[in-house]
Amino acid sequence: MNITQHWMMFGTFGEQRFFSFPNAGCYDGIVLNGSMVCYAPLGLAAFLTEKTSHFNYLIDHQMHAFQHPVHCVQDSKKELKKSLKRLSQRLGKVISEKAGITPVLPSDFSTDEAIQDLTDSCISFQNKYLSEHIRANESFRYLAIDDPDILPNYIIAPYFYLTASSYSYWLPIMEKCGKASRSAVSDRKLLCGLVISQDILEDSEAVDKILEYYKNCMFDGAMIWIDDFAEDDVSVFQLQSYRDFVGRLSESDKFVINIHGGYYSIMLASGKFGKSLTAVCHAPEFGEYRPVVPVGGGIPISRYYVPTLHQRIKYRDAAAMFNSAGWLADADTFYREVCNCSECKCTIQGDTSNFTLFGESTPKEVIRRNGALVRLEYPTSDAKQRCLRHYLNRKSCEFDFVRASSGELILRDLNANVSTLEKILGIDGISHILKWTKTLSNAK
Amino acid sequence: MTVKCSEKVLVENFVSFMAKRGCKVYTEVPCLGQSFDGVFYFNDEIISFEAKLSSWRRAIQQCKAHKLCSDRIFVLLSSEKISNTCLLECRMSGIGIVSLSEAESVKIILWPPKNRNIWIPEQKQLKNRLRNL
Repeated sequence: MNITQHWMMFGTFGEQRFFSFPNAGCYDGIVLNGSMVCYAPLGLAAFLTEKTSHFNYLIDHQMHAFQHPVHCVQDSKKELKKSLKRLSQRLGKVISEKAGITPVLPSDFSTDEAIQDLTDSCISFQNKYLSEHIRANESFRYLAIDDPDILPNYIIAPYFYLTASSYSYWLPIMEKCGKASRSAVSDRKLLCGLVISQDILEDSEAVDKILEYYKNCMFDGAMIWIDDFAEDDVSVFQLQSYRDFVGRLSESDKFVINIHGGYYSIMLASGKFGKSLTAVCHAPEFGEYRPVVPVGGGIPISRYYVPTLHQRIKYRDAAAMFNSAGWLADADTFYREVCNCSECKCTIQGDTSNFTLFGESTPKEVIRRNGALVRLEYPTSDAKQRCLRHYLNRKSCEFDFVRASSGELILRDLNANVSTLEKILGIDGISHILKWTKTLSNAK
Repeated sequence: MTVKCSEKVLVENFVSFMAKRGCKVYTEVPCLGQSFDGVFYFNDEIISFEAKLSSWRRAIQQCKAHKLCSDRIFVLLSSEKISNTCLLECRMSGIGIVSLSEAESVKIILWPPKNRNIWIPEQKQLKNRLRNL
């Protein structure tokens, strides 16, 4: 197992092949969403056994989905989304009865029976739902349902979304569930789910209470997700608070995974800046930050990951940036200054005008609400695949680099990027790197 | 005084103004993930614009994408009263200003300078798109 574990979140079946890209074995684990598990258990079972049987995996049961206003879990017909309906039926009596009708409240779990039912259902869902389907697979049919070979490697205790104003209501329930989970799970690592708002990081009392809960339940680690925490857009204070928070969670060599982390998290997970994350996860299609309440829609725009910026930016901005820097002058310059990954070489093929292939799009006519007809460009499937393969190549490089480098070298690399990029983007364009450097430089 | 019309009418008036002078303006041209309000050839150069009734800053922002492929870029505004700030920012951004007066006549407030940041492959793509429109 690698230090600085690289995990990837399962998004769609179309992306299955990317779990062995750029090479087999570059990912240490997979995060599966509870709703996806319920929606396509057979497909996921086949994926886990045939393509990725050597991977660790965990199932995020997404219990928090049912505490939000019901419109957050409804489809366009104002009905509970199918996948979430199936999920709700696996998460105990309270959730199955209230899902899609009214938000689940802390008061719903006032009895020991409700707590025990929630905990038992949640653990059973993670343990059995998928393993039953995995066992149906030919190569695993001789294994028992509870054989460790087909069970998730980590179990997530029941959790709810915590904000600075709501944590005091949910935490006592999570603690009761955590203790009940601890009694029930002894053969594998038990993690607490910490899906929190950004304001928790700014509230030292909230952080202390969460850590107290974490200690009291004797968890083996934590799965964290900070709501919409874009590491390239938050303040130095937030970066420091995040670093300190995950540092405290990881004491005593606990397993701590951020399921939506970017390069800052990867650097923290290197262990070169003090005890911190064990693993960082992202989705094939980016996913380095994500709001807790899904906000779908919008026009898909091709985005190119700029390696030195550690940011995925719109194709047009990348092309403008590289053009003004002179990096599109010839292929050698491009490979030297921008990227020489296999995807870029394969796409550019010695001619930088082929960089346009990363932004390749097809026009479509869209009628706006006011009735006006607008022609917009949508990235072609090929362009999306190119951007994705390039992104995954670079992510793999980032993990390899931080694993092999000293903290000093990692910081020197960031500073070198600043020197080059500030002449092109100005100080505002590279401020996130400056913030990362500042935060990591004073790490213990 | 601000001309009372929609952005669409603003563009249409500009298109008919140019048509009378024998110049075809392509509207709603998809390019670089957005839709350029208008593009036309003038003296073998590609000129493009974004139209706005108000919020000229947003128009300037949208024009940034044009820099990869247009020889000259301008914002088409509905008011003859262009503020000094707008004028200054356009000048600094290398973007021209054309306004539509109340009498529906077009006035060039600031002639756009030649854009030196074109990336030829992307301009070729735009020319191809225009051929297909």
